[in-house]
Amino acid sequence: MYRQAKWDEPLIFELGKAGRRAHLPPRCDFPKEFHIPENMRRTTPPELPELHEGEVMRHYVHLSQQNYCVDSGTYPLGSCTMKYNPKINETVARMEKMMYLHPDQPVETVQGILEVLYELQIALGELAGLKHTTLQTPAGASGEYCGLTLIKAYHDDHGDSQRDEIIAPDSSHGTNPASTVQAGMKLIEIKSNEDGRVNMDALKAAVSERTAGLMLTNPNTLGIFEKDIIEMSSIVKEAGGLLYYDGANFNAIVGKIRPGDMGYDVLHFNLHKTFSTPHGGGGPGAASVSCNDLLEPYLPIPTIDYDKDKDFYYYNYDRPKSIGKVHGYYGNTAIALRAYAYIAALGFQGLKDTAEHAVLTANYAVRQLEKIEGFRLSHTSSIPRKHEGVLEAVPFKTNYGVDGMDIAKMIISRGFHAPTVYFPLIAHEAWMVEPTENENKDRIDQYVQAVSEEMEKAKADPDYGHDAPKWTSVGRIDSAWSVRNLVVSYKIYKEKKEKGEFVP
Amino acid sequence: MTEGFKSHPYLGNSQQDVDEMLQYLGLSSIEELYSDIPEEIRFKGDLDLPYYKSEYELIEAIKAKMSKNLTTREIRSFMGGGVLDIYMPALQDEVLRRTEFYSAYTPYQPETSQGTTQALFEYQSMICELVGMNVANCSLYDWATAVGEAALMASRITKKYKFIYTAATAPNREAVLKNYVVGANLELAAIPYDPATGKMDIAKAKEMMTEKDENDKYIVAGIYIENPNFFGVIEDELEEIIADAHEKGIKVVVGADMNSLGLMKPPGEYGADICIGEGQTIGGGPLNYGGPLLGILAMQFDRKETRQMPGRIVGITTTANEGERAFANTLETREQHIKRERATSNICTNEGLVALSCAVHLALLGPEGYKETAETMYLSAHYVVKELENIGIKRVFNTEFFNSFMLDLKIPKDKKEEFTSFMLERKIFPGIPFSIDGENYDYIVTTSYLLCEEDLNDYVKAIGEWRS
Amino acid sequence: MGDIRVQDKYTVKEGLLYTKESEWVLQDGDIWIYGLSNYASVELGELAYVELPAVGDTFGNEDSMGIVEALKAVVDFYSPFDCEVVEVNEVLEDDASPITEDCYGEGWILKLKATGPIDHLFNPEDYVKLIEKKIEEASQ
Repeated sequence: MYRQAKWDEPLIFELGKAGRRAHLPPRCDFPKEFHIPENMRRTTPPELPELHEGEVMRHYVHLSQQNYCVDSGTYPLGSCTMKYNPKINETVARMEKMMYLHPDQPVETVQGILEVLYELQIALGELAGLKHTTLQTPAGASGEYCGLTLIKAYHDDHGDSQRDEIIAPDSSHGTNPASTVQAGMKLIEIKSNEDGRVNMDALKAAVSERTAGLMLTNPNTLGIFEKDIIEMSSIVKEAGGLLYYDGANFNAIVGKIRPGDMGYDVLHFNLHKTFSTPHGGGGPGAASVSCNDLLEPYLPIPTIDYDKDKDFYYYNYDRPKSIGKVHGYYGNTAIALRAYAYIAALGFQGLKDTAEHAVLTANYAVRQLEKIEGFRLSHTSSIPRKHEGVLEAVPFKTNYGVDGMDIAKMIISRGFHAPTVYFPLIAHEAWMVEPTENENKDRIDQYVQAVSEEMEKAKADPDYGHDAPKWTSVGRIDSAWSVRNLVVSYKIYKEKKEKGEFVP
Repeated sequence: MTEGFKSHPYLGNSQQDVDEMLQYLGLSSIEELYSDIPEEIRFKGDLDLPYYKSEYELIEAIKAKMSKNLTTREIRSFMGGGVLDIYMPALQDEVLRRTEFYSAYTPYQPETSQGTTQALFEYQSMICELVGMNVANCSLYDWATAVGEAALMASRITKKYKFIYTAATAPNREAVLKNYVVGANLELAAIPYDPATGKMDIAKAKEMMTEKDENDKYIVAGIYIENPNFFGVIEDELEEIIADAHEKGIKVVVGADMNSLGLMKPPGEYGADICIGEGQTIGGGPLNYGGPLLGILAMQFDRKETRQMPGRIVGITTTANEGERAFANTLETREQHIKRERATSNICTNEGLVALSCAVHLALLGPEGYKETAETMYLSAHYVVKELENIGIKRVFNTEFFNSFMLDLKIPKDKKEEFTSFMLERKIFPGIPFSIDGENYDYIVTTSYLLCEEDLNDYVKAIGEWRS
Repeated sequence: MGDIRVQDKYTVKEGLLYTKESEWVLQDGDIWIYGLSNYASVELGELAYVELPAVGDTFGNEDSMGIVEALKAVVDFYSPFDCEVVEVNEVLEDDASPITEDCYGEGWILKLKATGPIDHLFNPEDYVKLIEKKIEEASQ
């Protein structure tokens, strides 16, 4: 039986009392003489909370108890790879020798971290099958933007600035078109087949002398491997384009297939997906971008280089064709360190086992869920899935009026997390399930059992589904209210209250 | 190939589990699930990746590598530039190490993620308090990318394509700005600073804002001002330029030092439309060698213009059945998962946990602590300047500053390394080198409250010794 | 003839012409009033916001003229024919609910001047057939 904690926790601003202190920062004894120009002096202090230390702790303890996480239970969010975050990585990241390094310190004082980053770059490049790697991108979307910008820079440098089209399937993740536009290019969307794979005729029709490249994750967002990738690669390259690999689904093939061998020229890996760094409630993530010799000259500046003779790591700023900088410093270094620890704990064989187990658990989960009345597997069922699979709740919606979101709300009421719902857009009432290699067989059985039971209850009483969830900290959110009323800060909340408007 | 695979703590299933799952699926090996992979792309080689057989050996090996670093707790750091060595109270890590916060993801199912959503709403609200505005997003990657995003946002709102910015912007932020605007084809132009005061050349800025196109329409979308700027100089003559910008429909973007706002007027109170900055310096986290950081972006709420804001925003809402208070992502229709190629930004995973950390830090400081840290930073820096002046070492700009200033050292290019070593021997990172003429280096010096009077005296002494 | 009810859920109003993207137009002198059909507004559900074009903007047939923002989706609305915008319903700038509540009346979005052919538009009966087909496809 599952009950999530429910505290009706007040806003931190509603706690405390004037005059309470939670922390005493270091203070100096210099005489308080300030010469800031009158017109630039702060006259009204910020209305920050005034709590004592224990009150602060209680507030955040309460909040944390109202939060479901990977360490709570099954969290099969498709496309996110919510795998276990090894605790040793947290210990490693909290070493003083990591935390207290200023990014502008002279390089001779940071040889340790540079060595780790350099080794990580090499390891990721090996797994990618693409030699050159940068860690400057602080998230997957940034990695995409960087990789696409490399492609554009390449074409501009070769007199092909008319190449401004990136082709991507209609199953692509929202960041793909958004990154494409951010990189100054147009997205040409091509339809997928009934079997969920790229339609080769559509691809052939889409390439032209304006093609900059093809952006494709493999396996794709349906969890289906694009087996014609070699042919796709030839089509695109013959037309003069390059290939970008969205590494979001790399967990399915890590160590078993290298994107470089599939014909990709550049990719990003999400360190917070395949490489286990924590998702943090919305980050910090990190990405690596790897590319071949063609795109190497354009990598963000600086690159980390190694002088073998002097056994010295240094930054190379002599990169005239670089696209510049995509982050203020060198990317999310402390996250990269965690990824390094993860790779080094598994080694090559361990990473291969990871991919295989991720694929096994996903198939085990998805093939069971497929058998539940009301679900069907998206696209041709006989096609093997890899580390994730997409179910469709269309039959359940049609027959009982209870949709994919309702089922998601029912399952979170059982102490599990829901899969990704309503993505990719080419599946209807989509339920994207990715258990990862950490989910063991018994847990998957429990999960499937719970989904089945909940759906049975909804069959008998559809409102049970519409009103779900029941045992979470709060009931079904009315997201319409938040868009209609846009209370996005405590300031606005107070204003509305003072005007006598209703605010929850 | 997993017959008899080696069990590992990061793999959830034993050999028996594997066999049972395979049996259910009617398969004899996991390889069958890869049967649709063409032979020629299977990787059959071996990769020599780093590998340690036990957790103990792993941590010892990493410790050994990292021991080659010198930290800012071993060497007194007078470096700033946008990040700062600060003290993270012990309570912060107690909260940040709660797995409920760090191993969760973006609250796509808000009913079960009220911890994250409420914490981020509180963070947004605290930032609004600091900068004097009423809506903030719940993070961008860092200050540098926030400048880029602000430029793109100003362009989207005004539908104009030129963005001007103070030349006294930190070089790394300028570099990211230059990168970010390429895709949108925005034109950039730097506003020079007064070589005597270090402040923005207001007359020149006004002139640049008058530029029009062939249809007699103003072409500048926004103006970016750093306050204090990269040289530490406080911009106090902005009233006219801001009024002028508003008259012409130009968005005013101010990059503020988040600690300075303990003493300085919030940009929202002097006419800024958008305020950006770095949250690491107000408790987002330790330096972490420059990442993860915390990009801040705030504005005055406007039904139309706030829809052009990038990043996630959490709002208060109510529950459908009970009418209770709850928190959830709002205005999601700006974001990539809905608007795709017309999203306000491609940002997805942002810096959620760092924002949480910042909120905890601000909650611990409270308004008193926030002011105290600002005062300490200010007074320490002014003390150093006074003591240096006493031994005849001046600043490049004699303008009022917060806690950063540019020291007029004029160290020739070929002597820079020697200076670095000299200071390192005295356990000091003297500041961030910056050259105006390309030949001689001045140093941008920043004081954190971690430096005590002895540290400050040692600094003055060391500089004095170098000079002689 | 009268208004036609489709599957007891959607109303196709008589006397209007329709586009394949579920917009309607009504001739009023030498200008055309434009809005979203009831099928479109029911399917979108509650609307949060509308992004309108400006008076004087010109569009080719089937160009996107603006967007309507539902709670979790964003959808373009398209020009019914080559046209120029002569008036916008400014009420919608602050409150999109008229589109949901009275899509054929108070919820009008634009007034247009046609600058190209209009013979590709659907009469109500043909539009009903179009919606019925869409409904069938969606349930597969």
